[in-house]
Amino acid sequence: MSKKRNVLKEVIYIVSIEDHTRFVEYLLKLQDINFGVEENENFLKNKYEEIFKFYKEQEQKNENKEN
Amino acid sequence: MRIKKIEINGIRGFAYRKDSPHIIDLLNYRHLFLYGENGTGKSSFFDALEWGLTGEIEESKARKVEKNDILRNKFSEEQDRPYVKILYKNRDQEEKVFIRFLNGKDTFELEEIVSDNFIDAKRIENFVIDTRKSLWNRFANLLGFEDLILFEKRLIRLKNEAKRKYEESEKIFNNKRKEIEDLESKKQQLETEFEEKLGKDWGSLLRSKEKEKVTEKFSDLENLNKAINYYLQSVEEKHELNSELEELEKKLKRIKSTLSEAAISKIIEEAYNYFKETQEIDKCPVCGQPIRYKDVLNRLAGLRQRLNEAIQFNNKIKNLEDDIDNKDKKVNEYNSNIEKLYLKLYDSEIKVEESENALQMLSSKKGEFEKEIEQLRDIIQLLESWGRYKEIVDTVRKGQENLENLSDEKNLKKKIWKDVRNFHVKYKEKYSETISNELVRISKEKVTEIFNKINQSDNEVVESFIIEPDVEKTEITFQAKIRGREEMINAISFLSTAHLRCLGFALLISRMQIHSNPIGFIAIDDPIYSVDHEHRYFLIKYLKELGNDYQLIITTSDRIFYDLIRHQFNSNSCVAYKTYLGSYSSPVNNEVVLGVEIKSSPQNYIEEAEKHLNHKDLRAASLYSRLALETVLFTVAEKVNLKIPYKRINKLGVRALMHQGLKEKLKKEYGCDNDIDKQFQNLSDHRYFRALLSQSKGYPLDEEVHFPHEERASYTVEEVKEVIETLKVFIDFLTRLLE
Repeated sequence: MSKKRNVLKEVIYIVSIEDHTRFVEYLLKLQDINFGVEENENFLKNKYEEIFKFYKEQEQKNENKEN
Repeated sequence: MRIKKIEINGIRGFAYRKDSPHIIDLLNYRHLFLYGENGTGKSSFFDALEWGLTGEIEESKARKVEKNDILRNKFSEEQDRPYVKILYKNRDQEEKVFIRFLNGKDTFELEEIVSDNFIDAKRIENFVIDTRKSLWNRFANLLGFEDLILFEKRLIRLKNEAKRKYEESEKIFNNKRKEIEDLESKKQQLETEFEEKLGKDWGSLLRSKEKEKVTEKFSDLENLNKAINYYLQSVEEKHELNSELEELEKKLKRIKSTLSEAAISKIIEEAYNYFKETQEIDKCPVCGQPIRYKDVLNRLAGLRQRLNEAIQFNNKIKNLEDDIDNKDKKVNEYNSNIEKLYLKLYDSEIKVEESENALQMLSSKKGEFEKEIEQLRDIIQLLESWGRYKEIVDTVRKGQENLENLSDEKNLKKKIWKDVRNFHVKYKEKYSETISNELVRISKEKVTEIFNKINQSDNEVVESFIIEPDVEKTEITFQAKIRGREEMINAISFLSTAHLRCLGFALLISRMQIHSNPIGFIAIDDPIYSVDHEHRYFLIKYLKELGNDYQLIITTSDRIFYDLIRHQFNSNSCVAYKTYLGSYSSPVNNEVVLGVEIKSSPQNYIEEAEKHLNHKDLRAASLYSRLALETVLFTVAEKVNLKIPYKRINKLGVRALMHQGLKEKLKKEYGCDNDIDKQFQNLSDHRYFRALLSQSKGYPLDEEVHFPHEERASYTVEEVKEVIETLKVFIDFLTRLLE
């Protein structure tokens, strides 16, 4: 609570309760860097390949589980 | 939360001093006022306090630099552990200590969020001047929701990128699928062709054929056929040459039988020349018999022509013989080729002869070979198609595997795009709601009240503000109801820049009052940063009012504002510090140093007044004169034990003291009535102090009589100089009297 009230974190948490997607899973990993808002405007855009990799890995894990 | 003591070490402009950190001790004072000229560390203090209590600083966002970079003092060593330590009283009046180390883990958490208690003037200024941004964004930034907007910008870029990547992968997938479909169609065509030409068993038939062998046989057969053609042609030509030779030989034989070629040739030549040159001869020069000249000449000419023909025939015969020899050689060569190729192709011998039967047999064989060549040509074409077919089958197989991967990639990219798009929709909804709820929660009545207090003007008092957010459109309707006017007006086009500053301030204060503990502190960095002179006095009055409920922590670089605000409070309720550049820890480095400001005294204010008068700043000089008068009268009031009604203590001013009978009490305690009257009269003779010192009931006590700016145009340098001189005498008189 000593931290400044992080409204962005609050909003993303609220959305994450309704929206269970891999994207939200990935996004929550960025909370330590405040979701990149201090970085340049292409921060998330530049993360696309990483997001794609994350999705692929998760798909793979799911497939392995099913098998 | 009430701040009691702040200890800063190695943060911003405050150097790291191992055993003697920079300490601001509020002791038992309630408010803290910090004055310092530009660049002496006021903001360093504000940032240190903000970071100490919230873990964040606005400044790093504004400057777009790493938080730790801006926080760590530039002269601190690597091994130093910069920190901010705060001693505070919580809502249960318990004293607690909180310490936050740079690059360290927080030892424990504060019980309350205090970020709204920091009022940053720069934020208000951005709200006023950032007219290119939408109202929605301006309000959101003012209320500290810029992260929500910044994140959305980044999210939109990601969404567009995800869409682009998905569309790109879909295009690649479709192209690949089309390519495979085309190949499938070609494959189908070839299968039909194979079936038509080779039957249903075309596959095993084609597999059994070896293209190289077939091609070799085809090439041999073609060569054989060519050799036969050349052979037959050469034999025919040879026969023709032989016939011609025979004919020539016959002709030559006929001529030769009558003539010795050389002799006849010479005789005929001589006789012909003789007869041609010697005309009119009627007797034979050899036998003397009578002759007819013309007949002899004609016979000789014919004879000579025949002789020439014989010679030519002879030459032709030789040439023909040579040609026949050559043809013979070629015939033999072709013959040999035919025999070799035939042996190779059919593994049997063939007899090639120039006899008519043999030639006929060869011609008929040639027909067979031609048929066989045609068949082989078809087979070769089919084998070539078969090769292509096999390549297509292989490409289709690989393509289908690739297509599967592309399909997976496309579907995954579509999923990412859909997830990001849906998240954006929900995020926008929630963040709009958050801003909207915040605006709804902020009491509009309170905002209007604060706005009117710091923006006092009888003609343009705002009755109420309407700030209505439209979540769907992320737009804000911002209207104002002006006293005396029926219709609502567009507030943005109506309000001046100064009005907007007041509104920004009012919004932040109102928000702080909602979120904060009612006995909390409020820290304001340079509250007059963007407030014009006209509004400063109302702002000071409002801050004084605010100070009744809240602990004020105010920094400023404006000395007059600092003195005025400090003067609003009882000296027992506030502590004042100043910052300057010095060299505590190192003789070389200039660092921010905190010092307790000189206690206010009438003499100090007189000095300030004279200083400003020298700079022709009449407003400041008048203000300091008034502060000097107030200070000395409060000292007198204390000495004579003047009783003041408790409820008015917070709005105490010169007029309140006079109204409570200060002069009379002074006379009673010290006597010398005439001197006292004279001194007060001397001051009242100056119009600047006349109304202040008046004991008439023309002005309600809880209203200030005037602020100097109201009549500033009418003051002259000489007039203010006289006021100061009179005041100096007045202060001197009272000081001596009290002693």
